[in-house]
Amino acid sequence: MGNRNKTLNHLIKRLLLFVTIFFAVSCIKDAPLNPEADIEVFTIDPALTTSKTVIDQVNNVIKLYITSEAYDQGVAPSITVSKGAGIAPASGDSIHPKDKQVQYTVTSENGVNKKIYTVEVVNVGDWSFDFEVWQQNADDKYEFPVESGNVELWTSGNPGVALAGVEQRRDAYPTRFTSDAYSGKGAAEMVTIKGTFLSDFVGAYIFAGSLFLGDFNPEFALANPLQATEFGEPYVGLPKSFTGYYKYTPGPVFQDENQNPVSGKTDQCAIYAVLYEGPDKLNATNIHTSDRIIATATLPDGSAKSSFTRFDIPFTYIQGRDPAGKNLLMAIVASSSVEGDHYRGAIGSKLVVDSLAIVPK
Amino acid sequence: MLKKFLFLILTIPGGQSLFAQIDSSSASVSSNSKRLKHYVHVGYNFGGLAPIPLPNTIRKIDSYSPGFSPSLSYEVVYPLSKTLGIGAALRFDIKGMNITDSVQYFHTLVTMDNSEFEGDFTGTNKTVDKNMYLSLPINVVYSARGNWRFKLGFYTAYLIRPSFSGQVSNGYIRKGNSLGEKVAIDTATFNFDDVQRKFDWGLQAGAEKRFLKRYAVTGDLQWGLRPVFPPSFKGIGYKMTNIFFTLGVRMQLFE
Repeated sequence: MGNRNKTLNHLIKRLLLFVTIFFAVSCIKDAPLNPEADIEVFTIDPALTTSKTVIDQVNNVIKLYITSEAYDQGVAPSITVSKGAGIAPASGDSIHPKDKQVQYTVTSENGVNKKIYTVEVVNVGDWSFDFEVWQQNADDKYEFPVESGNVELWTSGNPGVALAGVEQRRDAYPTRFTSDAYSGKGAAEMVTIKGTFLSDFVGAYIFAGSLFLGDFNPEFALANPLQATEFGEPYVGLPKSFTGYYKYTPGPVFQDENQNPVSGKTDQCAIYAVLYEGPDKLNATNIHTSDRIIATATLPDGSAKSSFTRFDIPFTYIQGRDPAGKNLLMAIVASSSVEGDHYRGAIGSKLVVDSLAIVPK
Repeated sequence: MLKKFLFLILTIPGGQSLFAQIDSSSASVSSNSKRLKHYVHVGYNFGGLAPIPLPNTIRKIDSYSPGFSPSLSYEVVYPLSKTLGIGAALRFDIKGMNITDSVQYFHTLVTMDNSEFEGDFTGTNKTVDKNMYLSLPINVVYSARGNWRFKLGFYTAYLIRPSFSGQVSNGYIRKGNSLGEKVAIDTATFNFDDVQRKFDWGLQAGAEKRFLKRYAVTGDLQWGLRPVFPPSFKGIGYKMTNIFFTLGVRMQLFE
């Protein structure tokens, strides 16, 4: 009998042990320390700027648009970082980008992660673009053109396509360098490609190649991709015309947003420039409709061009919109599928642009 | 599949009584106490496919329900002595949960076809798990005083119908890791049905209290030891095992 009780006790203990372990390990633990190390807000006295500061979170670059006096004397930005993170130099410290390159190091609350942001002073003095020098994103391997001093003025939908998980290869992305140039050694090539298995989930069955002046804001890339494209760079004066060279080959089968082929329809490219009132940037949701638009220059003919074709489009000023004294931004946008913003187009459509320029009045 | 399975369950008592006959026909060893005992168990599973311990990336369980998670099994016990026996069963389970939880910096990597996405998600996660298993539990059975019976053993299970999906919402994902760019997520769905392992195994323990001649109330814990997702799967940044408690009723057959 005693033996039997012993075994019984043993079994009950075993059971209790199971139950105890289950509850002991199922409790919610303390919150992890914040691993994030972002510069979230970067503010400069508006009197010292010519346009809004841009935090390029894709490339970890702070783009400053400051007056020449501010450039000479330095600025003292006020900075907000991720909760609990530290930053050096500190918020409020003066920086002098004229003397040497300024970098901010943000260290996360948990101490593990560091992110380095480089400050770039942007001054688009020369409004002609030849797409000769390209760089490659270190993680995702897509390419983007840079101007002198390695300043990135042009971007594309590539950072968004990277989120959809295409292969990490330069030519797996819709926008890339090509040596098939009108002048010099390089030009920008845009190809409409098939969406990925993951992008199908959000209803994107194609990705049109795109190239635009401005920034890609990844925060909206999934929730509202059209809002992720922040078009435009500050423009001083008034433009007369938009010129450049392009060639275009539409893909064989035009498909609608549900992947159904549309018979009899041929894809077209889009190339346009828009002058509008800042400082807030327009994006693909409102670049054609905003009442801040002052003038536009749009390529009228988006059909096939087998060899480089010149365009020279005068700006059309919208009556009643006075640009005088306003903070102006110039957007230039090119896409291999004119309806690519609605995920309509032909896979394989290819647009090459080179030697784009804004001619002043 | 379900139909086939039910057919199997319904035909087993016949098969088992055949075994019983064979057993009793070897008359020299058999006695009344050595006759096989047959039981049918019906129960309900409470638990989850969960990481143990809960990682600190899970901040809050907003809601939990076991969903429709029945358990049905046919058990045969071979008595070794007056108190000890060996039990084996064929058991059908839906092991499921509907859970909504708040997560922070939850690492995920999803690879499908040629596309791949990796990142740390912060926001709301909703998972609906409804896996159907056919299992073979084997127990040492100990009969105690006061109409108690205790069991301890292990089980192996085959996943006959996988179902593990859900959605993430109201948050953001950091591309790659915590240093990557922040991407807002409205809603995104996931479905990890087919990456789950087909076989599961683990330990089990149970207690049964007889309250009528042929009926007993039962409680069983099945503790999976094998992570349901293989190490090659990185969609969920931690190991999850099936941990379920079954509350049920046992009925003895052929008494």
